[in-house]
Amino acid sequence: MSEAVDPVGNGAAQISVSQPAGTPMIEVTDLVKHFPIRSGVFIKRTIGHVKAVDGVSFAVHKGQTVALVGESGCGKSTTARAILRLIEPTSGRVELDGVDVTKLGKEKLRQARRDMQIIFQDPYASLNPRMTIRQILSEKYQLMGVAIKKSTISDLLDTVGLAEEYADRYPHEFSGGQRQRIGIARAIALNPKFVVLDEPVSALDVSIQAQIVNLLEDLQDELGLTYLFIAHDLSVVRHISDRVAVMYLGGIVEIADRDELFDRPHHPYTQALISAVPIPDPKLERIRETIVLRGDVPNPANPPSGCRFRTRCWKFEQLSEGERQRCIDERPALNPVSGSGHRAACHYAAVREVVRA
Amino acid sequence: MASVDDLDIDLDSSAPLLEVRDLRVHFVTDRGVVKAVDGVSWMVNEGETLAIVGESGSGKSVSAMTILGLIQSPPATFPSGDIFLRGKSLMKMPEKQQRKLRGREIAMIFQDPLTALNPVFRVGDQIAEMVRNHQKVSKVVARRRALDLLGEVGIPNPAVRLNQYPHEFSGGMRQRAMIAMALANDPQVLLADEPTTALDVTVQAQIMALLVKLQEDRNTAIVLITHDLGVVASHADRINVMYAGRIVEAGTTDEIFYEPRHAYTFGLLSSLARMDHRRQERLTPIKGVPPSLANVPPGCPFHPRCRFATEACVVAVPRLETVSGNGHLAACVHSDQVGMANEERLAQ
Repeated sequence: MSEAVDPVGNGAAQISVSQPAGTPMIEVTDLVKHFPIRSGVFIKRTIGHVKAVDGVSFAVHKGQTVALVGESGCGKSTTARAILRLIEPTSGRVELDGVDVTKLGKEKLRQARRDMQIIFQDPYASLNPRMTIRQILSEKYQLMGVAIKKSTISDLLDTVGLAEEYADRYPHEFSGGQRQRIGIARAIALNPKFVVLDEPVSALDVSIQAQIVNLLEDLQDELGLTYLFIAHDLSVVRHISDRVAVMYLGGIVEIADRDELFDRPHHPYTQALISAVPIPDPKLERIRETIVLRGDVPNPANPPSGCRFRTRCWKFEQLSEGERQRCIDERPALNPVSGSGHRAACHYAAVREVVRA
Repeated sequence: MASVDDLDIDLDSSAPLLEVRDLRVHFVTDRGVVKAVDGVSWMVNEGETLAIVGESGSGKSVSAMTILGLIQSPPATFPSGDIFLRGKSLMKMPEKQQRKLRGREIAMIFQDPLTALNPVFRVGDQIAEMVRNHQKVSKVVARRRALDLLGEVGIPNPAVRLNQYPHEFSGGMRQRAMIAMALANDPQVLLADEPTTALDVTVQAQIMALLVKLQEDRNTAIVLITHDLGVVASHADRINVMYAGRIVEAGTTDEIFYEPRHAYTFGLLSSLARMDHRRQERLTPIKGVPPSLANVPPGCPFHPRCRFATEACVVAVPRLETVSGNGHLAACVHSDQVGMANEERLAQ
């Protein structure tokens, strides 16, 4: 294991060491996305930056699922969109199956998009209401210059569990779960290697969520898909992912294999996040402790110095004056805390059991 | 502080605090009659949290809005039912008296505080207005009360926040401001319609902790309307499960979670991904989709999606009947089979 401490706090190269052999399907290194804040009426001047994504590194291996979790504004969706270059990253490198996506020209990028797709949270907003399902799905092939057979669309619908007769209907004729199936069909139409799932079940009714989660897992097995799963619902994350990265204010604060992260979380934010998720088990809830954080997430245009979580950290409050100074002065690196690539960005990282008690 | 006595309304303190009896709320539309609420009865007492659980279109919000008189008629019709506050019928009461009770004895918290707060008035003025609507106090006193309330719901720098507009508040702060407004007149019943659905989990934990504390301090009854079974497990005393406009199962929180006797409740609990479980092989979904309320299937509305369904389920709407103990009710022909299937599930 070459789990050396790296000064910047971004350990993509080291993380991959503990993963199954072979090169990762997607490797993100030091990804940065800053949005300028402009002011002025005639002459726009940049007066600052919102550091939405501020140095994020991780890798996803072929056929695996990495979940990126965190609260609204933590930068998880921006990270996903920057990986796909739906927004241009400020800096950093994204390798898809060994090819650096960030350096591709317009036409090459268009071709590369065949291999990387996204499924959005709101399937209604992402389907054109004036096109039939057949048109929506056929457009995909036409744009990429791929010929379609008579059976292509019906086969595709069958794959996502929709009857062929639905092909000539419009999006408004479908329920939320069915629309999400159409969104999935569109994403997998051209046999991509890598799919971003951006909150794919959050907008769905509880009884429908399990249907879609199962479908996504079946497709992963059948087609060998690699997933980046963006979510705030940690219950679904625990079910679907192999590895989990927790983000706070633009940076990864903890990353580990799924069971390791839920059973042995080291970062105080991860611990608070997991403890705040209510479990549908009343007897367990009565004995379980919830770590209630103070206040709100700070403004990402003006993040706190040192550790960005310190203004809301429950552990910071328990530290001595001298210990606190370190949190204020020094931004903690994403350092290894135990084997199998478990890393946490906290000067005082330590296990705290939060799922069971 | 305001009490029921000076309302000139004759309330019976021995009657249940809030009772809904056989309520039906129907809407006549081009596509037929939408039976949003179709024969729903429940009650809640002081200090108690009753959860109403259901998916979108189950009628859970409409019943709460009817209590507050927020459902306009027309288009709505109320073919049957009544709502009682301490034994006094709200639906037979003149509008003027209803208005006295609304916001005073019964208050509501909505899912989306940004649409529920008026964007062009300062938060403090909106809370003070709520106070002055129901109490004969001066503007100065009302403002002081608004200040105290903002502090009580945990808003830092309440004196500054009082003079700010809703857009200057974060999502969690707005929800706190709305709770402050709901508490302005010390209501006995708080209707909370998905109070934390729009919030992040760490903020959800803050808001739920606040509601628990307020309930302990004031002995308020809370009606918690939600689809989130996790929030329900940790906060409800009793639960009504709704499906297609009807209550299909009612019981204590432990009865609903550990001894479900309706196939829909059982299906919901079986389909959940659990954060405290190591990976299950596959989730067990409920097949199909919830019905349109304009076209509810005959008999048990859940039968097309039910793995226990037989012909008996199509013939008539099952009645809500006692299945165990006192007050555990289920409207399911196959409640015994559901009970057995649940024992197998828990044994695994």
